[in-house]
Amino acid sequence: MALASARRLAAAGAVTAFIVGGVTMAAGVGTAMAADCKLLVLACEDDPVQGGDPGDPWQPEVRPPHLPVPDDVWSDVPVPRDTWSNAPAPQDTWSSGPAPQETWSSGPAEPPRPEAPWKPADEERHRIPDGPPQTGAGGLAPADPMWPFAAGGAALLAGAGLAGFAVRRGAAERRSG
Amino acid sequence: MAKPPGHKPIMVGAVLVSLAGLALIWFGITGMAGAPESAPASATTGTALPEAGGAPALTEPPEALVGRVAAPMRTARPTAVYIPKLGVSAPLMELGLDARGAIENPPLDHPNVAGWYRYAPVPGARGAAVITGHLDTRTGPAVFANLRSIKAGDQVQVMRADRSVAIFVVDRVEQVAKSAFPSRKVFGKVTYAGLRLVTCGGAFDRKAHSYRDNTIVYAHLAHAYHPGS
Repeated sequence: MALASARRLAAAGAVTAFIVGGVTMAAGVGTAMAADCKLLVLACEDDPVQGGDPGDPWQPEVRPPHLPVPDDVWSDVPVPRDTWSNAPAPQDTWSSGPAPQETWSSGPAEPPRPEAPWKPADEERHRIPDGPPQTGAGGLAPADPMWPFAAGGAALLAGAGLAGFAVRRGAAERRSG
Repeated sequence: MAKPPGHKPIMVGAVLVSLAGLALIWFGITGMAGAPESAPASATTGTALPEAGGAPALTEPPEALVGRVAAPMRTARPTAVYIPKLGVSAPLMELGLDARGAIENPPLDHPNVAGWYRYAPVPGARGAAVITGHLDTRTGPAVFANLRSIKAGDQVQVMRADRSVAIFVVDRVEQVAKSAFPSRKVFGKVTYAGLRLVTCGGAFDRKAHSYRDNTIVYAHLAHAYHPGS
């Protein structure tokens, strides 16, 4: 009896969780679409649709630029309307025209501030620094010696070997005598 | 045939050898394995430093200045230091005090630059002027790498902005522990025009990232060279 009630309760909880999850997800999708149309796979209305049904007669309005396609410039035909060759250059307004008035520099210019003449520190300001100068970074210092570690390790190994040998010999002595 | 030794002497030997190994490792860890004093004079060659080609032409031979004491000069901004004996030719920058009250250091990325302490007399003027320079950078020698090899009687020339040259003669060189740095002796007042060159020396303490000693050169003004004089 109690088991059946628990099953029903679990089923009701699962259904509730499913509904709540679905609603939450729908709300999240809607919010995300409102924030950025391109966030999801769903397309916005004002985006051109790519692909679609091949039988659909609608085509996106494509306006290619009305520029003349130039001929191949690598062959021996003349290049059409190349403005950089012997054609007259257009009037460049930046060279012969009057310079525009710069409003930020038209005010009275400040005279360059003269560099203050060097002056030694007054004697009252003389003071003894705290501590010695730290004028070295160790580039010439020899590296730490490694031989004590090598020798110490070898000695430890030798000691362990000797100890093992002594233990074996002691065992042998006990057996023999 | 001699009886082979028993296991006890071998065990004693094993313990002794193991103890010796532990002692050696401790010896290496504590850095007491006779870390030799850095020997910048022998570790570097003069080719790493620029030649003193820009040193002013002086009229008197160096020996003539030994034993002479010149009157103090007027103040002028020092611009370069030359030590002909060591091949040092270095521009000078002003050094002040850092936030802790210690003297500033020349930048490590310009190893050939030395600095003069601004809150002390100017080199050539009355009092003890102080010039410091790095012994080395993280990768190689610096401007005062060979300072320890300077001797009494050698010259130190300081060029100044008024084109005068203060020519100092070395009185003595000493190496002192940083923990006992003689600040008053180096920076204190003197009645003559003196110069102190300071750099690092001794063994390098890798934990503190610092040398343990300082090399200090004491010099006095022996000649004031003015162009055209």
